[in-house]
Amino acid sequence: MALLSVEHLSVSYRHRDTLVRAVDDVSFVIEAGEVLALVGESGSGKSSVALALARLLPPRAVISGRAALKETSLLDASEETLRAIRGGTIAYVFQDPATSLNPVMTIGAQLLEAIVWHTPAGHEEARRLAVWWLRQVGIPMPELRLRAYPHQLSGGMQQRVCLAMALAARPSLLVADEPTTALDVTIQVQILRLLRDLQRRLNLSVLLISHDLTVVERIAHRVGVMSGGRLAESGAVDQVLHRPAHAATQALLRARSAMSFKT
Amino acid sequence: MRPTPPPIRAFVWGKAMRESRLVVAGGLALGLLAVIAILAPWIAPYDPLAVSLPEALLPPSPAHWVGTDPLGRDVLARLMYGARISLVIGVIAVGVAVVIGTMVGLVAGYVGGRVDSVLMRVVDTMLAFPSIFLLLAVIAMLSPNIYNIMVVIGLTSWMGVARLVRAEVLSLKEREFILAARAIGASTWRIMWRHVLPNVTAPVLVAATLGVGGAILTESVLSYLGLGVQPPTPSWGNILNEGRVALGVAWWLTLSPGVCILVTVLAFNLLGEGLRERFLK
Ligand SMILES: Nc1ncnc2c1ncn2[C@@H]1O[C@H](COP(=O)(O)OP(=O)(O)OP(=O)(O)O)[C@@H](O)[C@H]1O
Ligand SMILES: [Mg+2]
Repeated sequence: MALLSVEHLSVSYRHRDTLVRAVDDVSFVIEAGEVLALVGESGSGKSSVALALARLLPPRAVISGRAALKETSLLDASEETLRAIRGGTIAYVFQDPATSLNPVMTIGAQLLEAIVWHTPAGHEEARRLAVWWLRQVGIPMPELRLRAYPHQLSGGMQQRVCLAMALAARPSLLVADEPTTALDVTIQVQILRLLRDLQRRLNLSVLLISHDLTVVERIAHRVGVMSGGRLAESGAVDQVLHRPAHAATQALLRARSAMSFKT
Repeated sequence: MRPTPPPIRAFVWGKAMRESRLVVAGGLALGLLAVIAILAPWIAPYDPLAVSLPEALLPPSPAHWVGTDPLGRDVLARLMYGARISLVIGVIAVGVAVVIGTMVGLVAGYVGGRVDSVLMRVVDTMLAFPSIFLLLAVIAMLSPNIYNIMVVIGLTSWMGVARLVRAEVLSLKEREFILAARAIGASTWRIMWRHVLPNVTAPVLVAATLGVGGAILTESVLSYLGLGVQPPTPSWGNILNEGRVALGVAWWLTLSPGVCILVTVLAFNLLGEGLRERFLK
């Protein structure tokens, strides 16, 4: 059985009296240890899909359809269940690490929050775990970093911290919404390599959202192409990117060759 | 990459001091005042309550630096003890206002929807009353002792803080780190308490500093009207009030508490403006 299965997921946003559909009847599965990439033009509904899984959308969003992680149904779960799922079994990494860390809390406090909430670890044990995870994501001198504030770290380091926070409670699904878009090109490569290593080592399932087809080719097993809220096409990376069947995929590929021509 | 806003926890007082003359000027004046207020029982030249009719209404002299009042009490001693009252009332009243205003603003801004509408209508309604009438009405019902005055000033001045905090929370709520906190399973209360609240301390601190000046002024007005601190306990407002009857013959009785109030309110405002410049620009 698939780790995550999403069936007929739709998301609409209330705008005054009307509902604007952002995600339209999207279905997909992610197996254990599999990386599924969602690509598509801006506004095609990728983030809405990602946030709908743990019901992190704002109150004005209306969700329908079904989603299940193993046996747990997600879209009709109680608030209590959801809080255990968020960070515990589904963890998120967002686009901009500079804004997704709290500026007035130390790295350590934020990391401990995630660990203490989702694991039985006591304070000492949690601290040890925090240091261990910081080391896993390649942060030098992790003991010292625990007391640092986010602005004292570089963007790449901040995103590593976000990864550590996401993984510290050993989730089975990691949702990474454009995790490298806000970073410098050289840092992007490092973070992606780290993500791929961790994914392999921990046998993580990942929902990776990206604009960048090169990124997708490097770490995803399967890819779904979104267009106007619908899943236009999905399949193995090789197949979709080399024999695109849908106009939306062809447009993305053309955009990429135009980009690489320029650089 | 977007710049991160400067975190308040990371601020260093010494650095802030060096950077802003306003903070230095206001801070020094208030520091001095606080020392005088705290040490009043030891450094006051006379007992502020000691009546001595033969020495009534003496003008300033080496023996009585700020003269004496109609009952022959030393005005300097009374001003020193009055500083205790004014500062305590100012700080505690603002404390009350900050606690209420922050709670209301936090809940209204974060929870939103109907809760927000109701709370903000309450704020609007309270702001619609001229606060002096609200104060006078409440004080007239309760007895005018120090504790009631602090609480009542606090209860009638939290609305500005509530609006300020609500506005801050509304913008904080859209920030990604709040989403990130929800994404690791933090509860609504925990997010409000640990993630939102610490991020509003800077503007609240500034508003509180500016508010203390206002609260001291309000206490003086109440005492001047005879509804504040009751004689014989000295407060700047009631010294001013008692001086009113002797305005023609003893200028020092009204001038000295007036100057005290002016300098203190000004010092709080300078400090508040300085802090605002340092942290909110
Ligand atoms: N909080 C919201 N309120 C109202 N409408 C929203 C909200 N979030 C997204 N939308 C709308 O839903 C649609 C899909 O947005 P979404 O953020 O899911 O797209 P995306 O594929 O992630 O885009 P991007 O690549 O720019 O991140 C857009 O038309 C957007 O305007
Ligand atoms: Mg998005």
